[in-house]
Amino acid sequence: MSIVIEQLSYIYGLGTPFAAKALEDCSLEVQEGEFLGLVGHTGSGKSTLVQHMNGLLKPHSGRVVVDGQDLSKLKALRDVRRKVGLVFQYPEHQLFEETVERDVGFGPRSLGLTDDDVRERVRRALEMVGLDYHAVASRSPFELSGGQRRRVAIAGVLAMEPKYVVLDEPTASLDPRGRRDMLDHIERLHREEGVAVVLVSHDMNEVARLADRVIVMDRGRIVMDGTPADVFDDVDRLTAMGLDVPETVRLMHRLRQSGFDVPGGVLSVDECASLIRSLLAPGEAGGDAGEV
Amino acid sequence: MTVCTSGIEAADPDVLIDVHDVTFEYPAVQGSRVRALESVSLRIMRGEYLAIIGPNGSGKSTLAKCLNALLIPDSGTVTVAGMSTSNPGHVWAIRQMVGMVFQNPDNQLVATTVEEDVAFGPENIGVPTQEIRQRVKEALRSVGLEGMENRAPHRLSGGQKQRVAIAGILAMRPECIVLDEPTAMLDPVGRREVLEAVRRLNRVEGKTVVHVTHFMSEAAAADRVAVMAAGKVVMQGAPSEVFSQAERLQQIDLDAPIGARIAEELRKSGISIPLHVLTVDDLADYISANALTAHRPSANRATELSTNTATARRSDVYRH
Repeated sequence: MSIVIEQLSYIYGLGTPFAAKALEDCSLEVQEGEFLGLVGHTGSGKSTLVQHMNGLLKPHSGRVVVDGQDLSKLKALRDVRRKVGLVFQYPEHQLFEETVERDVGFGPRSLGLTDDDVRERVRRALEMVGLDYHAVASRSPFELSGGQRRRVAIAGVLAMEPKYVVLDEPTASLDPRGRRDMLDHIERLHREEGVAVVLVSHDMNEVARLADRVIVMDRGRIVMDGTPADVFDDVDRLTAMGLDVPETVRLMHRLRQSGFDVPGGVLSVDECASLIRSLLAPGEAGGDAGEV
Repeated sequence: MTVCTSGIEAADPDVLIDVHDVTFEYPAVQGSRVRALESVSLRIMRGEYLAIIGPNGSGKSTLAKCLNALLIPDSGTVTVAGMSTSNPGHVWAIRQMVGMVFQNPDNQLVATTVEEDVAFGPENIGVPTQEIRQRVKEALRSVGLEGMENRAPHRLSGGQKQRVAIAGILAMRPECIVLDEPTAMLDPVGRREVLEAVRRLNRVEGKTVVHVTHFMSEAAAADRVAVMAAGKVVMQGAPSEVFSQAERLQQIDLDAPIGARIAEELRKSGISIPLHVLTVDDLADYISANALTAHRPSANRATELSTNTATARRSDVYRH
C-alpha cells in the first residue's frame, strides 16, 4: 500500500494569460510507514505536490493512486481524505469552533460516530500532540498559545486516524522548544502509530535528523530522491538551487574544502565531534572514534 | 558575563536606550493580569548589535515594544536618548529615533508600490517631496532593493517584502532599528537576504540594532546577547559567554548553535576549543588553523577509520 504519483503535471491559471507551470512530470511513491522529507526552494512546487496527495488538486496530466485507487476514477474522495491527512502551513488559522473538543471532533463527527467514539478520538488525538484532554477540551482554541493552537489544529487531522500524514512546515515560527516538541510528537506518531509522514520543511537540520528519505524539488520537478546522507552530501548542487544544507554537513564540506579527507554521510553532532577528534588528536583516534 | 546596570552613569552618552527596572502586565481573562516583564534592566549602547533570545512567552516581544513607546511600562522607566517613553510629549521623537520591524511582512506593507510604501513614514511627518525621493532611494539602496521603486510589494518574495519594511523604517532616519523575529516566516534565502541587510546597516551605516530571534545562529553573529526567561533578563554578555553555558541554556529550553554544541562535545573529551567558536564556520576555521599538518590531507588510516565510524553509526543517527 502506498501513495503513487505518476508523471504528474499541474498548471496554475490554466487557460488564462497568467498560466504558470507548477509541477512537471513528477513521479514519486510514498510507502506505508515511511518518513519522507520534502525540501525545495519557495515556489519549487512542494505545496502544490502535496495537495495532490489527497485529491485537493487534480493533475492536468499524470495520475495519483492511493492504496491502489486512482483518484481520478473515484466518485467521492471522502475515504482518501480520511486516509491521507493534510496539515497546511499555519493550520492554526483554520481553527473555528468554540471549544477545542468541538474543533478536533469536527471531522470524526462527520463520520457518523457515536458521541463516545468521537470523544475517544479527540482524547487520543490531543494526547498524540501532547495536550491533556481534561486541561484543554472545554477551552476556546483562541485562548491557547500559538504553539498549542497549532497542535490543536494538527490533532483535528489526526482524529481522522489517517494512514498518511502530510505536514507542510509544521514548525514554522515556533520557538526552539516548540519546534522540538512538535518534531518529537511527529516522530512518535511515526514510530508508535506507524503513520507514514511526509514532512515539508525548510529546516534541513530537522529533515536530516528525522527522515528516512529525502525528496528535493526545484522549479516544479523532483530533482533528487535518496537517503539524507546521499542527498545532503551533494552540497554544491543544493546550494546552486538556493537551499541550505544541515549545519553539520556544511561543517564537513568546509573541512573537505580546506584539504581534509572527510567521509560523506556525517550528519549528527556526535559523529562530527568524533570525526574532528580524530583530526585534532590523531594519536587517540583509534580508541576514541567509535564510542562517543 | 556583565551585570550591566551598575557602573554606568545614567547620562552616559554611549547609552542609547536605558531600560530601568521595568515591569509590565497584560490584562488577562476575568480581570486578572499576566506579568510579562519583571524588574527588567538593560542598556542598549549606541551602534551595538544586540540579540534578544528566549523561549515563547519570556517577554522578548513585550520588551521590544517598550523600546519605542508602543508599550509603556507599569513601573520603571525606558529612556531613549534621555527621553522617557512615559512622557507622551516624547513619543513621536522616540518613534522616529527607534523604528520597529515585525515578524509578518504582509502585515506591514501599506501601499501599492514599493516607493509609496517606503515613503509612507516620511510623508506623514511632512518631509518635503524632493527629500522623500532622496530618502526612499537611499533606504532601498541600503537594503539592496535599488531600482525596485515601481514594483508592487505584494508580488515580492518574503525576503524582499521584509526588506521593504526595513527600508520604510530607514526612510525615517532612525538611530536604532528593533526587529522582532524578522526572519521567522521566511525561507532560507529570504532569511539570508534580511540578515545581510541588517548586518550591513549595523556595520556600515552604524545603526544600533536590537534583534529578537529564535534562531541561535542569528544571535551568535551579534555583539551582545541578552537571554530572557519568564519575564526577566537572565543572562547577558558576548555570544561566546552566553552560548558556552550550554546547561543553563538548556534549563530554559534554548539550544546553543550547532557549532557551539560540537565544540562542547570536543571539550568534554579534553580537546580545548576556544569559547568564541560558536558557528560551524568558526569551527571549520579553527580546525583548519589547528589540525596537525601531518593530518592534512589525512593518512589513509584515519580516513578508513572515520568512514567506518560513519557507516556503522548511520543507522542510529536519525533516531536520536
